[in-house]
Amino acid sequence: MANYRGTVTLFKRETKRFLKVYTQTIFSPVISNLLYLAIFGLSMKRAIPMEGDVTYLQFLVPGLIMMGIINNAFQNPSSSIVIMRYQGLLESLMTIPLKRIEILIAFMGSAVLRGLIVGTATLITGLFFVSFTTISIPIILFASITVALFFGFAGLVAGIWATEFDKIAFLTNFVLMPLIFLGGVFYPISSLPPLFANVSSFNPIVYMIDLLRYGFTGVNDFSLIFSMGIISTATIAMGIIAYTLLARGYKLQN
Amino acid sequence: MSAIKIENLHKTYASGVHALKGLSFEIKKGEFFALLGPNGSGKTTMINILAGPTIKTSGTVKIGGTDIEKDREKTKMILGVVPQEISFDSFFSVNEVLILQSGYYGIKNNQKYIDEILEKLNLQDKKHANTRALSGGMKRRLLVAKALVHKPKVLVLDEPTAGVDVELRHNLWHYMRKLNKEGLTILLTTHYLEEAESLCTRTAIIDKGELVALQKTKDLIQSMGNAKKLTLTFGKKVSKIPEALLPFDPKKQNDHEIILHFETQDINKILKALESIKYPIVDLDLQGKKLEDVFIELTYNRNGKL
Ligand SMILES: Nc1ncnc2c1ncn2[C@@H]1O[C@H](COP(=O)(O)OP(=O)(O)OP(=O)(O)O)[C@@H](O)[C@H]1O
Ligand SMILES: [Mg+2]
Repeated sequence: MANYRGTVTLFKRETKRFLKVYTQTIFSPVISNLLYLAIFGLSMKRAIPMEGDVTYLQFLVPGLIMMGIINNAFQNPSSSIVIMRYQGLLESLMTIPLKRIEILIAFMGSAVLRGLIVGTATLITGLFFVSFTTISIPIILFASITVALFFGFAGLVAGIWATEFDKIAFLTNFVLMPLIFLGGVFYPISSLPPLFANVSSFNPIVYMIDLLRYGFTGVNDFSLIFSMGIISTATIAMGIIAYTLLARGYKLQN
Repeated sequence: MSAIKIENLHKTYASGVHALKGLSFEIKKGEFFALLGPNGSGKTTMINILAGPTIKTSGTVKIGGTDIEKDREKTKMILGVVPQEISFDSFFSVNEVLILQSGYYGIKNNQKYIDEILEKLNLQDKKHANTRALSGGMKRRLLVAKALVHKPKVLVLDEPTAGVDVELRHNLWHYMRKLNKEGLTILLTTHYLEEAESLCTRTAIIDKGELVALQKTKDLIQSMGNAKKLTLTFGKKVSKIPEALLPFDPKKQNDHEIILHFETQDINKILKALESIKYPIVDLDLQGKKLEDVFIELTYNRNGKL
């Protein structure tokens, strides 16, 4: 028997948690995106060659939106679980009458929501700097939601694995941030020398940003079907990993 | 009907510690049951297997007749658990924590019952306080409140009174007694043995993961014999133990006090002996065996620790 109200309650708990500290969880990522927009947008405008009639700012904003979604969808479950571990609340999580799949759904719902809130806020701030067209709203929604889900799963896995904040900080600074920065937020992959372009093609974030950018600008470096395939496969795989860890009680039960 | 039924339960932690070695016992519906044992004997391990945080190695556990392997969520709904370790959700107030807790168990609009529990646990003043701002004893009472919001059928208390002051402890027990009278089954672990003695109808004692005793609390105490201890205080200095007292294993405590040891059936002989003494008696203190004595006998002495 499914515990709908229980699942919704855990989703609400996770969501109220990040809303209560909105200065850290919403404002601060939006402000830093604003800074990127101001600094890179204004300084690199001329340095980076653009295809067609897309301006550099129009190119940059989808990258920043994706960066906001990725960071926040990742951080929501990861920091929540690490804090729960510190406060002794994981025992409580293992005691309430929710199935592991329900716990997963509740955490992912909140992670996706936070990713989309920051993404939307970044888009709105971007509108003050540059005007936008949208080429395909379904592609924008598909890219945003799937990527938020992928990084929600990844954040859950990281939160379970990282028994301390240090480990989360390590993952964020030395794995996630480099992958995002090298994922084409600030430049088109096609403008790279062939060697770097080839290396970049192993970075899944490249396809995520490329797909979202297509949704807004109509410009893309990779085939849409190919990008969607890679993103979907990666999300399903990460979801299986996250569910398996939860179901086995890895580092949650003893 | 049994509320909890445990059969041949084993737990070996990843570290290799064999914490439970084939534990079996049953708690009937409506019982107030004590689980006692020294530090590290496996009480929390057993409770965490019932509750969820710990996974058993082998054996069967049934809660309300349902095997925990068959329908984990159903068995969790039956239980209310007060964990030994204090935990608190620093993002939320006392009331918010209790509303969330109700929601996990599928309950909407539980405010009336939450208010009642808060009052019974003397937490009503802290209803809107952040959980971080509670004292240690208050945090523990909040854990008790959390365990009760969904009206569980079986309440499991892992040392719920550690750090709770005397008056509030009495309030808590008064409340537990009331809930038990209304039909709640209670499993209690505690290191305050007077609590178990006055509250629990049956007592199990475990040591090193094994059951060493399981009886009605009264019988358990009597099983150790009906030995009594009587302390006599005299109004003036006693130079020598009076002859009439010699059959009762007298020990001179100091110039004014003598302690006698005897079995309950000799009580009349004692009274006669006391009448015949010429020293003025100003005070009497009679003590029977306590659960504590039984506990020490069955655990520490067994291990040669005393
Ligand atoms: N997570 C764990 N990993 C490894 N060993 C553990 C773990 N938890 C408990 N133990 C070990 O299992 C044994 C039983 O511990 P447990 O906490 O169940 O005792 P207890 O009876 O509750 O003691 P106390 O009265 O101190 O609360 C101890 O030897 C303890 O060191
Ligand atoms: Mg314990």
